[in-house]
Amino acid sequence: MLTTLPGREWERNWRKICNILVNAFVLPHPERPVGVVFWEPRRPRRAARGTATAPGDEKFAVYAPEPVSAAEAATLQAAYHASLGEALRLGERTAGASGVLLLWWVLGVVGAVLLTLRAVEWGIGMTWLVGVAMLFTLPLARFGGDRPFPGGRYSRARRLALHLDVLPEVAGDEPRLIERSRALWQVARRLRGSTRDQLSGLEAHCRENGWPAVARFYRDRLELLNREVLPARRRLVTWRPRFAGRSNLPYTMVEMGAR
Amino acid sequence: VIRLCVYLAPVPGGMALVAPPEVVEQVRAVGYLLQRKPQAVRVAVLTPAEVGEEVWREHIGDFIRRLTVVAGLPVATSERRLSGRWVAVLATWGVLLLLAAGGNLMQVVGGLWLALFFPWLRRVYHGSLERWARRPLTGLALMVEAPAVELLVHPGLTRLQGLLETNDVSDAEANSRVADACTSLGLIWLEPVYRALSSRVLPPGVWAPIAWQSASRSSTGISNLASEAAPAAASEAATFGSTDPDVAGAPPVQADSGREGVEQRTSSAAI
Repeated sequence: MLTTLPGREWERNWRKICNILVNAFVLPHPERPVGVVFWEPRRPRRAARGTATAPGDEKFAVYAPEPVSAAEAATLQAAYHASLGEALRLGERTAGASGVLLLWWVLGVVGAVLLTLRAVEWGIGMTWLVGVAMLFTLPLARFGGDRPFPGGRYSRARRLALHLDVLPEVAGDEPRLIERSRALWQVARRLRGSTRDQLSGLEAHCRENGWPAVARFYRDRLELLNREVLPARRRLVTWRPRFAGRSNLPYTMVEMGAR
Repeated sequence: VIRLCVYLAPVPGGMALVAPPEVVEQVRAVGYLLQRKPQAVRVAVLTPAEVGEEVWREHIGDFIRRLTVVAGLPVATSERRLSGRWVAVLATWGVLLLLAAGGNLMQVVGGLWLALFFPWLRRVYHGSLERWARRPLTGLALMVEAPAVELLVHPGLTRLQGLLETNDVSDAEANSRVADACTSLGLIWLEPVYRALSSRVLPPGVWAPIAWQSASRSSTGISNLASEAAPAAASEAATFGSTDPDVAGAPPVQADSGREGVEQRTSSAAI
């Protein structure tokens, strides 16, 4: 039924070398816990040269303060799969129109710079007006433009999509991550104050304890809270990929039941 | 193998297969994934309790086909961009700059950009984005073919069912109470569905009421909504150009495609 694709041979070879281990976390959040899957499939161990690792080692590890039901873990994994598809959609859309967008940027910048320089002769006020007006003609993201190139997120999603599979969901067993997760929940239960204060506290804890990806997640939540652009329901509930700024580690987020 | 989740949610008088708008969006995203790399799809049906196969088996194939049709519909692009009125103002300004250029090269280039190239490039770019959004999602065909189905018991749905059973109130009131509980039970996507049911309007997303337990409760509202859902499904199918009677909202028939690879996994064992 399914045709053999050019990528499948490469994928099979890749899987011989390293196993896939996707880490998902149930993280504390002031309103309710959220499940976060980072787009970072870990490779638990590398096989010796020429030997294949056991296929049973591939798993979707969930780190949570309490056992997560199979249904909730399936929801997490479904959101992870869908978010990769969404990233591919955005990337392909950008790639499809990149030629036109590039031309728009080049001609737009040339036109804007030349006309603004010309406006210098008409006075500082006119220069400012012309500069602002010309800025609006550029394909800035706020006005519906996009980046001319899909970027690293798209290539990461493409790479992850190559070896996508329904992995068996298991409780995470890496001691370091278990310890980090437990400490984070302990801190969260002690935190009091407004949502903003609690998020700041969680972010500070993660930063101090060398967990930049989760710290970045809380920073994103804070920024979103500050912007207040989305209604309350949409603010928290999303499965779309989120891109964690400087740490550059995309993640998928879904809401979870109270714990 | 790609995984998807839909809900077999308890409603007053029975159960309903529900795919809230967020799940429809997920299916659409999975369509892109399937388009890039064709592979099998496994649909997890989240249920409140162990449900007999006879309850859902004949409906699931039809439901997945409806879900696929709705997810495959083109989506309107809702991007913030400079409106046509402002573009017309800028283009007019560009023409005036050209008329008053007086041989100044910088002004000629700026005027040409505003009057000619900017409106043209903007139209071409947004046109290409819209054409791209209208592309058929051929990858979704794999979902219709023979999706494997597994049942997973969701503790939140179990609690919702308990709420429905214990409340001796009207259907609208019961739905409203369940909607209030959805958020804390990790089922926030179902909240608008129950809110719509309590207001006696069609829920958002895709849904199919099944397994009516008692005639007394089903006659009070949900069954009416079910009959209203059929024309809606028919219009969705008509837009998509499907001639499949199942998709067009006809009474459910044997869903043969859904039967293949059906795997029942009703244990609620925690991991």
